[in-house]
Formats: sequence, structure tokens, C-alpha cells
Amino acid sequence: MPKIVTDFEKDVPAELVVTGSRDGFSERGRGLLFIEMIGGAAADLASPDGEYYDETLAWVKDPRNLEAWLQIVDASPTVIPSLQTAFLERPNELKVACEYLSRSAARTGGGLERFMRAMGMDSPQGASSLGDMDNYDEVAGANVVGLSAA
Amino acid sequence: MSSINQGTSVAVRALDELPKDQREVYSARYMADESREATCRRLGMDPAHYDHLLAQTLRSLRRMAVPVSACPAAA
Repeated sequence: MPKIVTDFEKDVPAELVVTGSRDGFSERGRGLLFIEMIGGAAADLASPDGEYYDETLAWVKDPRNLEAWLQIVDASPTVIPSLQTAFLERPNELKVACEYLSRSAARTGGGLERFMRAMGMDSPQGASSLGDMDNYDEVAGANVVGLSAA
Repeated sequence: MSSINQGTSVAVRALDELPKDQREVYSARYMADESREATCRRLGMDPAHYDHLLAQTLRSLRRMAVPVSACPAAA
């Protein structure tokens, strides 16, 4: 019988290796979806009199929801408390940060690390502040100034 | 199932469970990496309607139940 090759990464020529996500989402798409999901929730929470405020507030308060969406970008669950605090204490700033990072993600394909830093969350590289956002991109502009001053 | 796939299951289910108009925007934006302008042009859609559909899509996703396997208590 022919030998069955199980070390696929070693034996399959590099040009034939499929590097995209099995579920059909690119890394860029996955990051963009996460950021816009969070940004959408922040936008609804920024309007206490809005139609969607109550249901969005209930969604944010259940950590299982944030857990699931953080898994989409393979982020640490330790981010959840910081994210919930940001949602509830400064939804407008979170919304603006998400809008900024969404634009960045659309161009660069990244975003989570910057998202965490922008929100002042701990990350593997250490915590940062909202003011650090303008180190990343030329479009930081007025939105970042507003965030830094908040 | 990896943690990524647990979390992504809602996003994948969306392709079956979202209303048709929301699904078109969703798949174009997050799976086909198509720009807002290109999608509006292709579907003959007003950009304001695109923005509304996108916001509604994200709300629809939030209403979808988190898979039990993604809950810490079930781990």
C-alpha cells in the first residue's frame, strides 16, 4: 500500500496551500465584522431614548455575547470587562473609535490590536491610551483629538 | 471545535438566517470584501439605504442566539 502522508504542511507545495479562512471570512472581513458589530452596539447605546437602546443594553450586559464575538477575532476573554465598561460609560467615544478603526481595517486588514489600545485595554504588548491612536494612521484627525480629550 | 469556530458560528449562520436584503450587504461587505460604493453600484442601491441595511444587519446578528458551546458555563 502507498504510504499515507499526514504532514500536509511539509509535503504540500506552498503555492497550493489554501491560506484563507475555512468559513469563508478573510482576516480582514473577520476583523471588520467584529469592529462594526461593536461599533453598532455602541451607536445604539449612545441614544438612551432610541428604539434599540433597551435590547442593546441587555445584549451588552450578558458577557456571553461579547465572549462569542471576541472569539471571532480570537481575542482574550479578559477584554470583556473593559469592553463592557467602555460600552456603558462612554458609548459615544467607543462608537467614534470603532468608526475610525473600521476605516483603518478596510485599508489595512487589521484592527483588533489597535482597537484594544484605542480603548485603553490591556493587550499582549501592554496597555495604551486613546491618545496613541494617532500613532497608527494618517487619518487619525479630528476624531482622535476628540477621543484623546475625553 | 476551535474557539474561533465557536464564535464564528453566528456569523456563518447569518448567511441562512438573515433576511435576503441584509444578507446581500453582509456577504458583500464581510465575505467578498466589496466596498460600500461597489455594492451600491452593483445593486442599484442608495448609499443611505445601504447604511440603514448594514445597521439593521448588525442588530439582527445581535439578536441571534449565542451557540451554547461558546458559553463559558458549557465549556
